[in-house]
Amino acid sequence: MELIVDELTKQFLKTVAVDHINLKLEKGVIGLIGANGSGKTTLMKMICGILPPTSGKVCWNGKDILSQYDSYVMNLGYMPQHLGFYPSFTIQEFLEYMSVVKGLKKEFYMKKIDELLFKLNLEEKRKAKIKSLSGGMQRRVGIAQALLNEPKILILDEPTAGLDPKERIVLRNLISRLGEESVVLLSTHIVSDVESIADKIIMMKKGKILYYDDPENLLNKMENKVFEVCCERKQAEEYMINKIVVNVKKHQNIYTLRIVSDEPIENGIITEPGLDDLYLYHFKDEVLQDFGEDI
Amino acid sequence: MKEKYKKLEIDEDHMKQTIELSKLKLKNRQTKYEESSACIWWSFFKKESMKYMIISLTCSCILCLLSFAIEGGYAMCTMNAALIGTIVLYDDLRSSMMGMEELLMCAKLNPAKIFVYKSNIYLLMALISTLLFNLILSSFHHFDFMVSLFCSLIPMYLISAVTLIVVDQVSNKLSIIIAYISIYAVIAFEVNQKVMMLSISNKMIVFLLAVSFGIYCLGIYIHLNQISNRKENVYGINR
Ligand SMILES: Nc1ncnc2c1ncn2[C@@H]1O[C@H](COP(=O)(O)OP(=O)(O)OP(=O)(O)O)[C@@H](O)[C@H]1O
Ligand SMILES: [Mg+2]
Repeated sequence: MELIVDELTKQFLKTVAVDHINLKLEKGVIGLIGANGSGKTTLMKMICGILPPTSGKVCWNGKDILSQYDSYVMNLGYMPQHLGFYPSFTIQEFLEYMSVVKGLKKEFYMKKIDELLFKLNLEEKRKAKIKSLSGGMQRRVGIAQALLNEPKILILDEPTAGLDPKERIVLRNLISRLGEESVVLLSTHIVSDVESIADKIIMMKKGKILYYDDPENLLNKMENKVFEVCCERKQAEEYMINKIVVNVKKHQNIYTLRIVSDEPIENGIITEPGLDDLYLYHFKDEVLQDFGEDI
Repeated sequence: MKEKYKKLEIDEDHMKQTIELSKLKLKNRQTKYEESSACIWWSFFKKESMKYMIISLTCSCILCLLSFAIEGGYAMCTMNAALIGTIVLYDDLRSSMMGMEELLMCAKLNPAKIFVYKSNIYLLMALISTLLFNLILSSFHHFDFMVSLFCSLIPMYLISAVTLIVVDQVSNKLSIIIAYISIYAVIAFEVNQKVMMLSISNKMIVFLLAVSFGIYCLGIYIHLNQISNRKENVYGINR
């Protein structure tokens, strides 16, 4: 059970959204992180087979997905980034509709819907119209819909966006359990959402893969690069301009900064790195570069 | 790092339960899907049936009554067809604009199949109800329902064919505009030619019917092959 992405490319007029990507996705939770416009959604859509690639292909069990699309979709669950449902449907109606469209049996989907509504904490809202739901609830409906057919490949485009902290944890647990039996690919901007549950992390930048590795290995790369410094306001401002500052805490007049840097920082204490540091290390870099080019 | 979180948030019992559950589920997996496609379509029809019935019946009823009230008003039957065609198109565009299309694209019944299926069901319903209403009306009055039926069938198929072909070729907004223009053109034409329509011979009507039906079938064919064609093209170029 593996999904192979082979030289996948997508070009929209002038922008190359996904640029010759090679990946081998196996069972487990795979976190896809990257800045806005780095091509996450485009990559996911192509893996789902709903956006034809400019070149390259995606293979499932050794065969091109587009050549066996009907059997491929039976194994696929997809939650798009921009959810659009018939607003006058109730949650129950919507999930039934999606089950029918997915070709599921009634005995199966009625039980499955109950189970999913329970798991995603939507039971009370079962009869509520989709348009009356809050953003976070709608997102959970989107997740439920993707899980209806117990997919072996689950593609979730920003599933945690707009969820409150409690629902985040519920979803995180659900996803990590799903990862035991299926390939779960999820994109997010919130690094802490994937840090804890991902078996692998993909970091994308401008349509290319920057990293594809275990979170542990990625963090090892950041070893001895994250520092914590206590200083005065003036010094803090200087750091903010010249260094990558991940976090600032202010207590009375003392500023505590978390800095990512290749060179050691004066008086800095080396601390345990997180994925947030890695993310900023790469994407702040981009911002500084662009800034430099402007001058 | 990872272990630390896992310990925090996943409780062991729940894990075991889920693993047991998933073992059970594996057994069910084979029977999860409906096998015959007729069954799938039937359950889809049941999900949408109210909408089909109500829309088709109301349109047909109102327009048949109108066509009866207006002397020689066969044009009204045509308007019925135009209306049904518009509704099918509207329905399709609405779901694609809302983003349902993305969801449906990776489902067994993808938007192309649903669209063709829906337009056929709407047409069938409209056909049956037009027939029914005309039959009732003609028993009260002298009303040639066969002619009105043919008159309504031709543009019905024509418009459906146009919408079928157009809907995937151009952007959504443009296809709405084109469809509306064609529908209004047909209506305007019909209303103007009301008197002339009556004098067209039955042979001519049958011929036009055959032609429009042919175009309609072509439309369905194109629409059904849209997705696979697109894929083949992409691969064809790269090889
Ligand atoms: N339909 C389209 N037509 C033209 N350009 C597009 C289209 N879809 C995406 N793009 C471009 O492709 C690039 C990648 O977009 P994509 O939506 O994949 O980014 P993303 O990583 O999902 O971003 P976000 O985090 O904001 O969701 C962007 O530069 C975007 O402008
Ligand atoms: Mg996106």
